[in-house]
Amino acid sequence: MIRPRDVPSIGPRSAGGTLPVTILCGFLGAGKTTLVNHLLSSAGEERLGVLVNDFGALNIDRDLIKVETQNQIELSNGCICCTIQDDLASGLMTLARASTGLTRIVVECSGVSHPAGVLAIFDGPAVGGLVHIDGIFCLIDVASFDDLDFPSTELAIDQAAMSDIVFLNKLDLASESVVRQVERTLTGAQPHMRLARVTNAVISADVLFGPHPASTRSGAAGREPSHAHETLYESFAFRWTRPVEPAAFREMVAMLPSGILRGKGILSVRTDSGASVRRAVFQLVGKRSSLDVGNDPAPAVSSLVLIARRNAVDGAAVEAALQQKLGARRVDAPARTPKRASQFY
Amino acid sequence: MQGVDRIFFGGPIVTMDAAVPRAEAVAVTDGRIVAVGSRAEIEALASADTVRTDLKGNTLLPGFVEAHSHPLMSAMAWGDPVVDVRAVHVPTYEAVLEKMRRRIAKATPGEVIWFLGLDPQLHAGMKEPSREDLDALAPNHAIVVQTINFHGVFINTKALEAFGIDADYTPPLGGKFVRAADGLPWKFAETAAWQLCNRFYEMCGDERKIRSFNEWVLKFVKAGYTTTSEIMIEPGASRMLQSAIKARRNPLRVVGYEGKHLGGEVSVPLNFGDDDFRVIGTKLHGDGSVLLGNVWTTHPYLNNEMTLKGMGLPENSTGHPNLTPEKLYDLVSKYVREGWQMSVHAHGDRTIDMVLDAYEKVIAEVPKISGPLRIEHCGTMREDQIDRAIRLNVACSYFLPYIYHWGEALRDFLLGEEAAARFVPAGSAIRKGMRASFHCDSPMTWPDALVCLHVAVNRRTLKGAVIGPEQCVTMDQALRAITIDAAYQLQMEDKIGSIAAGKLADFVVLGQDPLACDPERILQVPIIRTIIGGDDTDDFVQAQGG
Repeated sequence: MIRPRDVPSIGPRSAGGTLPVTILCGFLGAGKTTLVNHLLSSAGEERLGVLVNDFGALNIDRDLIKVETQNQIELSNGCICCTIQDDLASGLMTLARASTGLTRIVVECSGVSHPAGVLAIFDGPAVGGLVHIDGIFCLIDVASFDDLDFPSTELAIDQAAMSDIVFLNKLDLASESVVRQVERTLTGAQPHMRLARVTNAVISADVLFGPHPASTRSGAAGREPSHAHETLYESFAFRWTRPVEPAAFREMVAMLPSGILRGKGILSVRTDSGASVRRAVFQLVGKRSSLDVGNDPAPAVSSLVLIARRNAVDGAAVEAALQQKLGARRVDAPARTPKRASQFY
Repeated sequence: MQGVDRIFFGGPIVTMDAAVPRAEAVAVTDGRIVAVGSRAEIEALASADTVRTDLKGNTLLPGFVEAHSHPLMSAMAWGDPVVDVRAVHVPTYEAVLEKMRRRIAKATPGEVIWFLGLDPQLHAGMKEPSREDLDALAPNHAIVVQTINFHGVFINTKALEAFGIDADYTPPLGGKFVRAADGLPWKFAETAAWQLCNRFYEMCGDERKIRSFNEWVLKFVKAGYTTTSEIMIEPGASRMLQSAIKARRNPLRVVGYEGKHLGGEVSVPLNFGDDDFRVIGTKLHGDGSVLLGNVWTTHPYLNNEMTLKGMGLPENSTGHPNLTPEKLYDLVSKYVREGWQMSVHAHGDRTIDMVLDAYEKVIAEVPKISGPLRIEHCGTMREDQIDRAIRLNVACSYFLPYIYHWGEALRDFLLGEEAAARFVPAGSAIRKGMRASFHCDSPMTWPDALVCLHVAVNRRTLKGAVIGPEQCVTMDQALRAITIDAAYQLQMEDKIGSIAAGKLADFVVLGQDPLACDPERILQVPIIRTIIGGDDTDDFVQAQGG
């Protein structure tokens, strides 16, 4: 059994040995509960604990979560970013300490939560010693965004601005011009937002979750994306033997197209002195990335997986860049993606 | 024997009383501290009805005291419906324009939309919004944009109509304005800007004043303050402020100073009010804002794009005072003779010279002075001025968060490295023996005692630079400046500022002992709650939804 404290350090913000937490935020009605249901029913190897915050006294969201799980805690009658911050802290600690073999906690914020208050919880030594933030994601209901009043609009923008990736949901209910207007408004407020379009909150766990602990141990770079999502997402997998120069790798990362939503890698990197090689874990979540060099022996082969919305990036260009910078070879499929105007910014 | 009402124990108790710096327990009866001592000594005072509060390892201190602030003005300036465009949330000028567009898109017919927080130093790419810019943004709605330093206001054509301003406009005393290409007033400064503010606040109605005031008081309570000041009350507003404070159980004491730059009689009698709200002083503005350049200094501003274009200063600018030395002396003399404690805003060293001259003259002439006489902010105060202030028993309140928010701007664009290093030189003053205080000057920066402590002990900015480490003080010295020495400046040293028998039972509970924590981590110390007159302020916090 994997005890939470035994989970290896994998997340971009990991401080070592702590359980990854995926935070889902977004204004009321954006599709967060639908997404939690998707994740619970397609968790695969992950054993998820769920914390659901409902601003009202009755936790309706709890009742809307259809998948049974023993590891669910409801946080009601207040907002976890302010009035019931302590409840979130104790909920996280309960799930992290439960020793039920959880591999991850998903936090569904209330629609009126401000991410700053939620993130602050993780700064404390008690919570920070048990869990770390693996990713924070925001859903936006594009069809009703324009109907929000000004304070709600600003809150939704703050939620989006503080997230790694912003999912524009309910595309089927909005015209292209409405979606473009929402995109303009969001990037006007924060030009570096990473936006992705979705319908029915169908978002792959491969995008939301960092690599599974078991597979990082065996040296593979995360799971292969599940087949159910193949029509929506595509992945680019690379393997190579030449040790990586950290500076060259970071340069390559900076050049990646913004349509790449997730990146995960177990790499063999040269130390600063160049004298030896070490194992390093690479993580990319939306606009944020990290390369954590540990003290473990380097793997013989470096591996890297990049995930993007299907047709959102020029696969051939990515392949060429990795070949040139790292000597990396694509192992999953040749670049056969037809080019199309990017939906990502 | 009647027992005490309440006992606090179970955590470090930092009294800020030099005679007994630490205690194990405190006893409170009828809102006052009756004993401070060992657990056994205090337990001996208990009866069956005594309420015991276990601190559970948290630290009890006297509630924080801020000698210079403006909670009511902050509520007027920042409370809803004013739209906050400060750089801390909205980092670039382009992002400000985007936020303005979003707000204007939600406008209702006939409303005046007021934006506050435009920042020439921190909004990258900022330029003054022209009338054409503003009209293009809002052709059908009245909009007003105010700078973060409060001294400048820009308005569009629809706002001219809403305020009934035409080509015949004349500004109030001390006010300035600039016309747009259409010949009509566009940019308002100083009292002309503040007159527009007051007209807007009146449009927003009285209910909004009270609601916003309580929202703002909540910020002070959550920052650990139990006493603050309202240090430029509009003449006539004291009674309104008193009724707002008395309308609920008061969680924050306020000491009042009426703004008297226009002269005239103070609108309430001397020492009007009680310990919840008392008017004890008068306030004058010797000069303006360092961020605007209207402060009077010996050393000129740097010459660069920000000072010459962003701020519109002439080359080698040394600024100017707001009033002549003669006028300043006349006003100081009048109110000091009437028994009011005098407080003068002075950032530039030449203004400080002028204030000290006036004070020295008045001290020689008036036998009994309600003191200490005060100087506010003290940005570019010189070493010899600190010596002179101490000799005259003049007390300074230093605006330390200036370093936190604008430290890099002071160093790199406005004053240069040397002047920035000794900007707000509280370290020198305290080491020489001045009983200095620190303030956030809300509405300029949000009330935050921990930021005051952080700058005092680390001189570190929000972005991480250390500016003038030789002006650092110890944590104990820093705590004095937001407790007992601030109480001294507010003439309440006998009632608040330390945990000692006979004083009001005003406390703050912190999650860590600030004297034991790593000074670099002082901003992370949790503020658990405040206690006023022996009672928790949780009811107010909950009523405000905080």
